[in-house]
Amino acid sequence: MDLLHNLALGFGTALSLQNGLYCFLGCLLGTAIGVLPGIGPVPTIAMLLPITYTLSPTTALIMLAGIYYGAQYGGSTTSILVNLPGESSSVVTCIDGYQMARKGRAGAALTISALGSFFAGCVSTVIIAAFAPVLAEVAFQFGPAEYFSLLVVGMLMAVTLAHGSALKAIAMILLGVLLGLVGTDVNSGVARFSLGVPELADGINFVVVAMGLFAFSEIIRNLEQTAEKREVFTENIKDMWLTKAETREAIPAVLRGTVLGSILGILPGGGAVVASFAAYALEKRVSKTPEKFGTGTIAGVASPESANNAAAQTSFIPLLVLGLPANATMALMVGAMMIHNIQPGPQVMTSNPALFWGLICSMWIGNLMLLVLNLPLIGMWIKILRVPYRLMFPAILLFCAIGVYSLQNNTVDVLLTIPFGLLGYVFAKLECEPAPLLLGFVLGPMLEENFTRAMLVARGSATIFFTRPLSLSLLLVAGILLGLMILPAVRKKREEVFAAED
Amino acid sequence: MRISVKNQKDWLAGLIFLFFGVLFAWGATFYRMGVKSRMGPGYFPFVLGCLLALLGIVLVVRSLSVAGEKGKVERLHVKPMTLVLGAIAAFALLLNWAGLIVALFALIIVSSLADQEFSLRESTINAAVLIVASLLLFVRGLQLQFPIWPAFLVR
Repeated sequence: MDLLHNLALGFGTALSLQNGLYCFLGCLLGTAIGVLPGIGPVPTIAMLLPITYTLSPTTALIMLAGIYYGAQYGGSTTSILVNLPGESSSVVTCIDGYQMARKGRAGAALTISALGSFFAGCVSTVIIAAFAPVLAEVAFQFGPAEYFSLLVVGMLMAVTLAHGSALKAIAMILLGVLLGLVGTDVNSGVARFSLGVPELADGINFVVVAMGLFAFSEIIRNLEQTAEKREVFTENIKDMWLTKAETREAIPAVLRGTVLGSILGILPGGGAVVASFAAYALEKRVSKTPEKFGTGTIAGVASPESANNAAAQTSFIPLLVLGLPANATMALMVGAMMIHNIQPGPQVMTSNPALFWGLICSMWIGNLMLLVLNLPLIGMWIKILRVPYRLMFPAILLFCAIGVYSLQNNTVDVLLTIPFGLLGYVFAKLECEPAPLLLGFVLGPMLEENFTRAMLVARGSATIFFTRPLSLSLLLVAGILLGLMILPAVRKKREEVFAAED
Repeated sequence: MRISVKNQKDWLAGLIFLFFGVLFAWGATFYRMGVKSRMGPGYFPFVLGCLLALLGIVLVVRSLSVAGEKGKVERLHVKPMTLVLGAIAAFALLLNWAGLIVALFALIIVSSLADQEFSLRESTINAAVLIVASLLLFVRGLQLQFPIWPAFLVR
């Protein structure tokens, strides 16, 4: 069978000494930054991108992917033990996870989040392997009009699922697209908006944008707060096993979380954060004892933790199949592929099968490594939690500065991060999410290229977007999404879903 | 008469979007517009700039009538902001002239000042450890290219 042949190729690639080593490195790093509050996968991947120049593209992607799903494992540890989300996708885990720790069930909470994540990781790996080739067949029929419509749907979907005001999120996407247009125009060769700065003629590097908007503004916001003394449960974690009653409650929750997470991950705009919130909401709804949520019920840990890991992995599907990043992390992955001269899209599977299948298989291997990293070695991560933030953040800044400099061995890039840091901090104060901006920034050039090309084909008639059936149906979806956001009832529901975060 | 702003956050965000929208649309007029079937480099940014400006106006207008629950803008903390971003600037400006070691030292000390519990002794130790680790990891290990020593000493 074809699938078996592909999987054999994948495992062969993923199990090579170098790839295995970097997969482990990615998972280790991912867990570490997952455990540490105040640094997430986006700045970490941005930081490490320049360093992956020297690696082969397959190895680089395997490691970067490991950071993303590894962070989903690590994030729960901090949520459970410190009542502080190590990762934004573990925010809801705090609610019941921390309460379980207070009842002396920290071990069980840690075990179920690791096992649930592992199960979800295995299932979603199979889903990617099974669905990606089928979807790629459809993607091959896409022309510029379809791609444009798909990009519009993807961006609007990101807005629907984003936290906060939809209007502001759309504006952030537009601003991102415009910033993405800075630099030499491929069609005319004109250096747009470069202000005469030669470095800007090559465009703004997305690592610069990501670093400023995510890492720097996050650090500044963390420094605003005076250090609080938090109760850390580090001593008495002996009882790692689940009781029979807990197991009975956790298994269906893990299953539901995995299914929901896998679906939400595939949708453009979805990803680990959205999935964990949705899973918690679903669990509360189907539960026979919804009043127990918030007091340390195991389903409230098992389901979101499975969902975020499933979503972290299935969000690779739109990237690998369509070249369309579903969230900010995937936007960075596009960048990682571009660095190595790989144009993301359906052709990757045929032109570079070792990369495609190697990456998928590495996820399964990575999940196995993470299980070992997180359960027996939990004590090591607790020690990391004891390092005070005032020693940690200069180190994060150092990594950022060196990472940006090594992009092109140029200090102008480092200076460019400063206005983006400022912008990110101000936007955070105004409740404007930075993720849509980064998404727009990465997709902007693609959007323009496909739009102008479609218009060229249609000799200037915009009807091309409506007469081609695939494009039309995509635009209809976009229209429905837009309509839904304006409807007050849906708006209220959205706010409810995200209310848990505040 | 003063028009009252009901939602400060939306109002300010709207103004920022309006500013960038106008800026990009205006900037786009310097490039060839072209026609719909053959768009010039100015066409797409002009349209999007106008769209962004429009969204900005909508936000501003809405902020005057619709009150948000948490509409008040929190204070900008200028000290950590300038020190963190200043530390990055110091690194960028010092690197080519004074070399990696001095630039990293400046980065770590300046940024550490942003913390309320700053202690010079602790930050110096932190800087020393991080500099040695960077030299081992980035310069020796990953072979990244940096000017390490001050330019005037090497010559």
